[in-house]
Amino acid sequence: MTPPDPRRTPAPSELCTRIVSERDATTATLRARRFAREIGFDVINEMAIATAVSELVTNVVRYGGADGGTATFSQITRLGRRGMQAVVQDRGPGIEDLDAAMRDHVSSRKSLGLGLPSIQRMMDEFVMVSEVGVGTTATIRQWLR
Amino acid sequence: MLNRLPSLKTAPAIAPNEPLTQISPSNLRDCYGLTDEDFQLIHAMGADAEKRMPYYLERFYAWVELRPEFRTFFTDDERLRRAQSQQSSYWKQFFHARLDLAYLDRLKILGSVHAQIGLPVEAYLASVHLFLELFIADINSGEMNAVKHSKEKAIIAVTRLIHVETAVVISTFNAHTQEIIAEQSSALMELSTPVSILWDGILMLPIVGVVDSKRSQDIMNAMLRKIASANGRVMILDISGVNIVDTAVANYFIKMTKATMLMGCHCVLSGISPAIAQTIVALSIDLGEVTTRGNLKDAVAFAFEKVGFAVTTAKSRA
Ligand SMILES: Nc1ncnc2c1ncn2[C@@H]1O[C@H](COP(=O)(O)OP(=O)(O)OP(=O)(O)O)[C@@H](O)[C@H]1O
Ligand SMILES: [Mg+2]
Repeated sequence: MTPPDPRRTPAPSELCTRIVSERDATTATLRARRFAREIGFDVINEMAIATAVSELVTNVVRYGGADGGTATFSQITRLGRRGMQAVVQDRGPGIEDLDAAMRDHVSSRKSLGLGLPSIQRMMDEFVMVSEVGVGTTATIRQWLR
Repeated sequence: MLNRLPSLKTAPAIAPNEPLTQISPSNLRDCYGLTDEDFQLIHAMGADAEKRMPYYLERFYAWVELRPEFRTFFTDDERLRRAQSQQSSYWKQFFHARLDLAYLDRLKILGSVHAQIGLPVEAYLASVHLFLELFIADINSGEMNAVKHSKEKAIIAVTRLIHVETAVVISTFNAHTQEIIAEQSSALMELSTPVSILWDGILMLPIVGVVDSKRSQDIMNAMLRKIASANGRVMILDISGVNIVDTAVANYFIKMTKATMLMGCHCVLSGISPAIAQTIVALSIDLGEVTTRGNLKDAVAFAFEKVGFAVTTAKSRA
């Protein structure tokens, strides 16, 4: 039997990547960049989105527990504006003090501790929900200008 | 009921842009020996199966709960609900028993989605197997009332169509997995360009692709070894080919520069594009004593100056 032609496969409206290893984090980051480009973001925003996603998925690999998590990208619209949303989720230990984690130079490991605060600076919207013992969900949105 | 079934003669024609070698409904029917009677039997079970769907889904999710490779996909109730409704409409389609192009397209989406989310193929097969067992149990017990007089034939029919499905899903899955591998290997290009000596004491290393922890370690080792062996005084690290600079990558660069400095070699980061410059500002990373230049030319000029050479334009060559 011949394999189906992947080009004929209709593209899914949503792209989900499972995040367990550093390699998965890389895959998700590169996909975020391509997804953003396809939606129509310029290089600067494409880079900003990919960087924000990279920060989140790197945190999932570093802190998100052994089961890892997922990164889901989708195209969104609100009041006639188009944008991109990324939801990064894990079932890890959660973050005890979310306010502290959002501040510059707060890191539980010897890292820069700039990941989360940078996302706030780069993205139009950034919501982080975390429950200790349950997991962490981060949602970022960027709108086309 | 009979006239609602697809007949072999009215099977949809292959679309003109479709290569002939493509998986086609008629090919699959032949290959798996599906008969008109099979389709009729599967279709007849539809109503009973729909009534039993809540039970099937309950069994399925009880099974999922025990399996970490699945559980990561259902991190919240909302996602679980969505997956449940997808499962139920998916099996509803199955009992429609209509093997046409639209149906194949849906299966292909399923295959590519599974590949993209990184669901292990074994997990998919195991889940289909679970449903097959549930259906067979219901046929045998008479729960599938419509086929209670032809249980054996019904079991064969369901098995055939389920195998057609897995064949299509898995070959799409395969094609996509191969795409993903190609995508990754081009991004994770190994350090193919060694550190080169540009001039006495001036070394250069262009970095292309993705910088992860292993790669940054490799780069660091290559740099330090070359600095020692070639007596490097300036190292130009050209990052114009780097995909993404996030805090982790910036951190690697800072560590690389610190290490070269310790060996008495100055490090210059060149090839910082406007997009990367903006990102570094947003990350509010303190590059401190790291020298940076927008392009390679400026970095080379800096390096020459640093080692005490002057670059001037020759007035005449006569
Ligand atoms: N998904 C997560 N699960 C549990 N804890 C997390 C998660 N993400 C972040 N944290 C906690 O929040 C802290 C701040 O995260 P942030 O990304 O800002 O810094 P970092 O990862 O430590 O350093 P950097 O991102 O600069 O390399 C982390 O050190 C970690 O303790
Ligand atoms: Mg981080």
